Amino acid sequence: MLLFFASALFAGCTSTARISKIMNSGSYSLGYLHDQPVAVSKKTGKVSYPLLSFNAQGLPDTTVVIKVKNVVVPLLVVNWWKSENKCIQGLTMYNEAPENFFVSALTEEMERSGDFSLAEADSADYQLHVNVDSISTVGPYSSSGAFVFLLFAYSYSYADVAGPALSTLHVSYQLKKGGMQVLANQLEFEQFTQQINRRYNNNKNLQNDYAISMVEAASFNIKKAADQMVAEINNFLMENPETGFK
Amino acid sequence: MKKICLFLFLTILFNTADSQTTGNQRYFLISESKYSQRLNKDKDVLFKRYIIVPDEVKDKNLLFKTGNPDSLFMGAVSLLMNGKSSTVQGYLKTCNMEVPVNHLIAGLFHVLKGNFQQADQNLALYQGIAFLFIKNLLRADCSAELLQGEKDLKTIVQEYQAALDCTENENYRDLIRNRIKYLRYR
Repeated sequence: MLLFFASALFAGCTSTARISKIMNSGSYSLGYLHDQPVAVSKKTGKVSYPLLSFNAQGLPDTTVVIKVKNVVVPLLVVNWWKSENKCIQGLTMYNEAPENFFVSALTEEMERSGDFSLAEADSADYQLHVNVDSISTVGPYSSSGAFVFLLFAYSYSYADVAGPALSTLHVSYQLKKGGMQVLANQLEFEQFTQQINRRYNNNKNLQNDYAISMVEAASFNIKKAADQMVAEINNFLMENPETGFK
Repeated sequence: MKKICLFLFLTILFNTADSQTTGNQRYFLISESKYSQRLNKDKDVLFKRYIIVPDEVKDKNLLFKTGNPDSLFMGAVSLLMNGKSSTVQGYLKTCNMEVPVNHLIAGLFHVLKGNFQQADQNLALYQGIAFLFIKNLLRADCSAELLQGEKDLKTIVQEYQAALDCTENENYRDLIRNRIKYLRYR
């Protein structure tokens, strides 16, 4: 009975190592749908393909799970426990290098909704320098449970809750003409992971979905960054025809 | 009593087996208005992959009455929505495949039956513009099914992008976004 009591107590408690193992077991795509309208006509001038400087600060190689709080209340008849963990998204969660994805996503958006054509840096009218200053996704994972032991009956319950995690992306860019900066901005994006309305029979599926939602949130931020940069360049070129294309 | 139990057990067993092997429960035809109703009632539209079609035609015999290509397709849709897939199958055996919309009908029929390779071949031959969204949606669905082992969602996303770009209808566009979400979490 004691053995059963102990196993029920510990089986319900999801260890950080187990969460970490599952969250590092898969890698997921950042791919997304572009939904900005396609530019009807392109002006004659050219903007360079994005020249990217990527700083992976805040993005460890593997997903890290850190125990933040762990409480066990063993009262023999009623036993209760709760553990809180912090999950920090790692590079292994992406199935493509985020810097490569960022360049291809931004390039696709420029080709799609940019009112300009693209060219190599040395033959373009404008050079676009983009810095990804930081990219990170961090969120909670908590596990709690209770075990009630009476003489002729027992009851136990446990529940894991994942998220929501917050994904952040800091980007800055400069648009240069003949070495002179003509447009620059620093952009910050935040996106919470979205909960999926699904019933989980085991914690592994919950942890997998949590990892996917973290990648999805990072993908939303990259989309927002690409959309906004292209919109700002379009506006600049429209409002500054003398600096813009001839 | 034992005989009754055995009979019930066998009935359940064979009914279950039958429902798994016949019909393809991966995709569901739904009319625009019914899809809107589901959205308004906050019902699940994420883990059920709907093929949204213009509102249902009441006349189920329309397929055999008209020579108008658009009506031909809507007639087939009406039959399929009412579980008359064998009628559509019979029609496809005898119809003139030089009429482009018949390739769209065949494509839809095969998607619902789970024959994605055949469906994609038929859909590629439909060159009309009246049902371009449905064509592109179905072709992307075929790719998603045929490339299930693909880890890279990007290839499949590009197929769905073509469907998204050919409609301004926000419900249709949401349906495409939900497909991508489905593929992420499947």
